[in-house]
Amino acid sequence: MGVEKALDLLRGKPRLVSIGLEHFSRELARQGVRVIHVSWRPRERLEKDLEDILSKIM
Amino acid sequence: MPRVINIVKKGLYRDSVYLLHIGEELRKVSGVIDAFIAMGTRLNKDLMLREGFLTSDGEDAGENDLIVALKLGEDADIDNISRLVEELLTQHGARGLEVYEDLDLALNINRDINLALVSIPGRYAREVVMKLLERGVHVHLFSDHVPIEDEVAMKRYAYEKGLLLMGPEAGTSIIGGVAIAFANAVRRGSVGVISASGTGLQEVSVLLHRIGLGVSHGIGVGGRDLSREVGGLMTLFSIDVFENDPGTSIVTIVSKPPSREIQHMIFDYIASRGRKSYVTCLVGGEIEPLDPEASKRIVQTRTLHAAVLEAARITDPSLYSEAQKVLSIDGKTIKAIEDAIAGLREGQRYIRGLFTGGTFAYEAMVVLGRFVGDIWSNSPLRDDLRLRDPWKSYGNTVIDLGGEEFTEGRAHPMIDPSIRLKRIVDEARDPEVAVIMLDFVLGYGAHRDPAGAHVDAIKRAMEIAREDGRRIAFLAHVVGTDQDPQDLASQERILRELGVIILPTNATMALAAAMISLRRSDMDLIDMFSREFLRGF
Repeated sequence: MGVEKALDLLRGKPRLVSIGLEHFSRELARQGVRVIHVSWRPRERLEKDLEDILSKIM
Repeated sequence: MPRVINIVKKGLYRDSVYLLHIGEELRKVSGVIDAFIAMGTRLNKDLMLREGFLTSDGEDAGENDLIVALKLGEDADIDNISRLVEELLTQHGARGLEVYEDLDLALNINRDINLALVSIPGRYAREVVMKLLERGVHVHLFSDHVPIEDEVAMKRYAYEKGLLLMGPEAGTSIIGGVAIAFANAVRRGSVGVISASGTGLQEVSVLLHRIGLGVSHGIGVGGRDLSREVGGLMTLFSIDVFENDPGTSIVTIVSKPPSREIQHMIFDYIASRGRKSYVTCLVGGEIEPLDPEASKRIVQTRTLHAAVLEAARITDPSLYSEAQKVLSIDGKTIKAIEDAIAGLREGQRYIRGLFTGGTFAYEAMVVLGRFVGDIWSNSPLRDDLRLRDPWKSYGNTVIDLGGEEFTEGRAHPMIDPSIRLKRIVDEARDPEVAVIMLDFVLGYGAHRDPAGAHVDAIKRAMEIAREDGRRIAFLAHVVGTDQDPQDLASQERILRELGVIILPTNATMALAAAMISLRRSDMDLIDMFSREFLRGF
């Protein structure tokens, strides 16, 4: 597989999305890096179960 | 007697580091003697029980429920404290950050994003990572507990798309000079690092910095990349990337021992396709016999310390001797080791290593094993050396506090030292303990003042030994640079003032521990160490 996309990433400063620990987003922001944070929480089990059932029957 | 209360928030999720900060805030409130705030996982509930924090309310909580456990004094104003708890838990909203609730929306609005750092519980990772890869975003996946079949599927997909998937279980990457997750502030330079070990990458990058070299990029590929199942997919891809990166002239590959088959394949791959120089450090692995052509391109080493020396030798032979000096145990330290030996009482003979970095624990066991024999561990070199109870040491013991038995639903010990602090005091009660080894990891992601956080525990441990007419030697290796936010010099000073002996590398810390436990400071031992662990093959 080609490595062009990876070399593109390495050429400049990365532009980040951080999903999960807010601590890591803050540590990136501290370095003056462009970072956006996506807060994450586990989906309710019921919601997940319903989705699994729907995906099986649809 | 303090009153203990548990406030249970059903179905409320907050990440472990955030909860740690809430605990710190609550401990400052008048009437609060101590606080333990965590998700209701089995491990957290066991710890709460052990430390007298658990009531029947907390016992009934599940792993998706949040427990606020408080020890309160007579003067505690419960209404006020409950109000504050509510406030702290709902404040969650990442002040000062640009925050989104929805990943799709975040990516639609910010189309320039090219790298994601994912740190959510491992069983949920695949869905999120696949979405990111589909959208052409490279991923650093910090999460552990990701099923291996998910790892294989995600890495194959990333490889097909020409994207980097660093992880799962990738503690560290350094991309374009930016520290991702746990990483140090190091000089940029011409050494590229591919690492299946987070702390391995931290040690190599820090030691390169100390000897005047620097890192082009550090790619964390995740602890299982060189397993048979994953087949070294991201290691091979990263080799191709570094071969084509004009900023990289030497490539260092770091891992715990890979599958022999995969190790062989990686060496073949380098021999047939590589044009740059390679230094490998497969800690605890075998030295691979190489044909003459391959051995021109590849130097193999047994320790992270040796890998850095060999990178120096390839760069410039005069730098090599300079680097040897910078990373060696100096005369003053040898003297401190001799003093520690002189202070031992009869019967004090065991080594206890309490590590926050998994590869530091592993490397220490490899070095110690050569000098003092079997080392017991929660993550041992051989399965028959696994501790029955990881909370209790036996003989010579090395503990990886980042192991899952210590981290489920908790912040990593590099951020939350509380388990290690208690363990240090426990070890001091054992009259057969001669020496305690500690790693202190600085850099982004890590605790703001790890040395300072250990002062009371180390003092208490020294006092326990003294009251019993003993002296325990404390050894430390501080993994940091002058550019790290914690400042290396001040962290080392805090430890030195306590009487802790500071070693320049993890491997030399293991040597020092062996010297103390064997009561030997002769050159024979040091020479043997250098021959086996500080050179290239």
